[in-house]
Amino acid sequence: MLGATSVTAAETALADTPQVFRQYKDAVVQVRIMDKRSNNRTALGTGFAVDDAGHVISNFHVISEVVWHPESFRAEAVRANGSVVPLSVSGFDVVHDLSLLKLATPLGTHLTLDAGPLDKGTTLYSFGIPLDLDFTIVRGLYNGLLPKSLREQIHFTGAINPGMSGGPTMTEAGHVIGINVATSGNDVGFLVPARYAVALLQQRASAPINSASQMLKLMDTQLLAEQNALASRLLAAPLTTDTLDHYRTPRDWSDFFRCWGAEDHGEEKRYSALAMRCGTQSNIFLTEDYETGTVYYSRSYVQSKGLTDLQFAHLYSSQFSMETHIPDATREDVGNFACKTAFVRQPDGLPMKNVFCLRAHRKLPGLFDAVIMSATLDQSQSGLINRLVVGGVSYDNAVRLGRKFLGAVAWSNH
Amino acid sequence: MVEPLILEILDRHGRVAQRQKFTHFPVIIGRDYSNDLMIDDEAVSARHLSIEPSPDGGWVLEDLSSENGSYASNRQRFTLARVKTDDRVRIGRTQLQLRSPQSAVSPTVLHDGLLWRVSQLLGNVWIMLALLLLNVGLLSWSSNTHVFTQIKPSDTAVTAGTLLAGTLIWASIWALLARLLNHRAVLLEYISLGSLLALASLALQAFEARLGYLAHDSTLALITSSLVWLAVMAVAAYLHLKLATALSRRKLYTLIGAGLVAMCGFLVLSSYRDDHTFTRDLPFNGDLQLLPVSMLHVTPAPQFFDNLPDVRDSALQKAKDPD
Repeated sequence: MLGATSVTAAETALADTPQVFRQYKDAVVQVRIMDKRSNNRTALGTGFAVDDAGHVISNFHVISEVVWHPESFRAEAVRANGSVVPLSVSGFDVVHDLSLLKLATPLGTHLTLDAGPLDKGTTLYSFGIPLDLDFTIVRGLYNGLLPKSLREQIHFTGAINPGMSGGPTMTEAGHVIGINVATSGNDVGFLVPARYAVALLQQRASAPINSASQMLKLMDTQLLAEQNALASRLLAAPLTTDTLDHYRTPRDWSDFFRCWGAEDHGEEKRYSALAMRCGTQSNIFLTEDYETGTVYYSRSYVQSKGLTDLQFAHLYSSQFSMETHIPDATREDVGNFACKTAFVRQPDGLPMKNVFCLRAHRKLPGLFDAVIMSATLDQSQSGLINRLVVGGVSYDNAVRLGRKFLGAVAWSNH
Repeated sequence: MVEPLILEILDRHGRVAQRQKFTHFPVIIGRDYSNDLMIDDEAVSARHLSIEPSPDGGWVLEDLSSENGSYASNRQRFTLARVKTDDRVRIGRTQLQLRSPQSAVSPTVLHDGLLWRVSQLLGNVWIMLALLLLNVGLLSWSSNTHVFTQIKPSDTAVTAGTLLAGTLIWASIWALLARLLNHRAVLLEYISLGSLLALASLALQAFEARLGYLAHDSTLALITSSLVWLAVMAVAAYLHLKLATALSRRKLYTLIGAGLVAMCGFLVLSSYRDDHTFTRDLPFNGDLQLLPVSMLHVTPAPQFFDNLPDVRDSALQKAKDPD
């Protein structure tokens, strides 16, 4: 009697976990990417059925090999009972890292996608096959949408591990509210909100996509739309400035940028460099070493402490030419940069050297990586360097963003 | 009266080590003290070879049953051979050359006065030390264009140590070559020469920086200093080779010319390679010489952003190039 009354709410929830696992595990599959020639596994993830027609939702990054090289790779699903079913690609949302796959034979059971609001602290159950171990259930807590994120994600407090990517995270009632996508370790996990999966399911193509050119075209369309949306947001958002001695310089642009400051100086140095770097935390996965959808800007205010003018000119030039943060890509993905430099005068008269560099994405027409920089030239013992790096942007938007960003550099007393 | 015979004992490099004139024949050659010509070579027999004039003008050589034999210039072992003046024979490990008063000598080499004076100067121990010290001093000088931090004594020690070790290794290698090829002791000369080269590179760096700063054109500065550097390298190469080898001036010029051509070829090839290599580098001129802005060609900033389609086209072109 005493024991029965001391059962807590947590223990009740714990007791329900086996029930949840038994009830929904059959709608979950392991997604395997196989090399067609050697028949070896090259990538593993998780997926789950969302209708009786055999549609399965997973991550884009799980199946990216099939999208880029459909001639070399194929996808298959492994059910909890061990049987293997071939998968084809019906669509994907590269921006939100989702893919829609189709099973050759439906599972006979499926989960429900639900975008409904939840309270922080709601218990959630995440499914997946971590590290290729076994079908696994992880209990964790809902912690709301990430507040300052460029692309919407749910913060899930629970252990999401490699291999669980693409798996469903659901309420006790079996409503999938998000798809496992990433982890920062220590039980900090991230989910793609289910509403993007709902949208992907609704917009799916009638026929499976199986040629590389179709896949690339779809990806290109999605990325062009995404960069347009991002550029519009940045062009509409106010770019605030602050004052550094006699300069006004960009500071805050939008709340999805994370900014860090650093000061480079020391006893033995004969200069100081006051730096600030801001970047979007999220990027869009294209392949293991190819990312896009990032925006990064930085500034560095360099001051001489006893250098000659000639020495300072050298130091300032070397800081201006210093390697900058450039999105990951390989030679198959992008060409080399082309640049243009010019000495310019801002509307208020401030002289600067401007640099505008672009490199084109080889397989995604219309997309460029842009690096836009300026250095002020009115002082011989100090100077201000500004940089803007945009990954995966159209030429027109790169010019517009550059114009707005560098346009904010000015003298402070004018 | 029989024509005298001059016998030359040659060293391993074919240079004359010993020369002796004979008027009485036969001339007996061997290792012991009874011989007319004594040869200090353990491969030569006590009595090895006899030489007599031949009635028809040459020489008749007879091997005196030596253990290791005698060889003519065609490498054939002989017991009796007829040999002409100016021919060579080998006994044991020793080369002998037969000469007569009519044998020709090489033309007189002109004394290279400039090289000799340069060598005298560079070989002076005080000049060498002064050059070394000047190098260390300049590298530790805080107004050096490329130094942005306070120079500490430890930095100076590291710089000086590296410089000294590097110069010594460089000089030793060349001095060894000179000793082997030219039988000359020129270590000090090479130390001075190495220091001079390091000084020249420092001076050129400063020259390039100042020229770029004043003319506001770093490309011009780079080209000018590269040309000067090529000239310096050519002179240095000439002095290095001339001190170490006995090559004629003409051969040296050919060698140095070939070196310069090879260098230009390398530059062309490497620029071709760079055009076809994937890189994350931004190909822009980042020089920020802080000149009066009135001296620059300045465009209004908004106009800069109106004129960028050529960057786009160039980027598209670079992405199109085949891998």
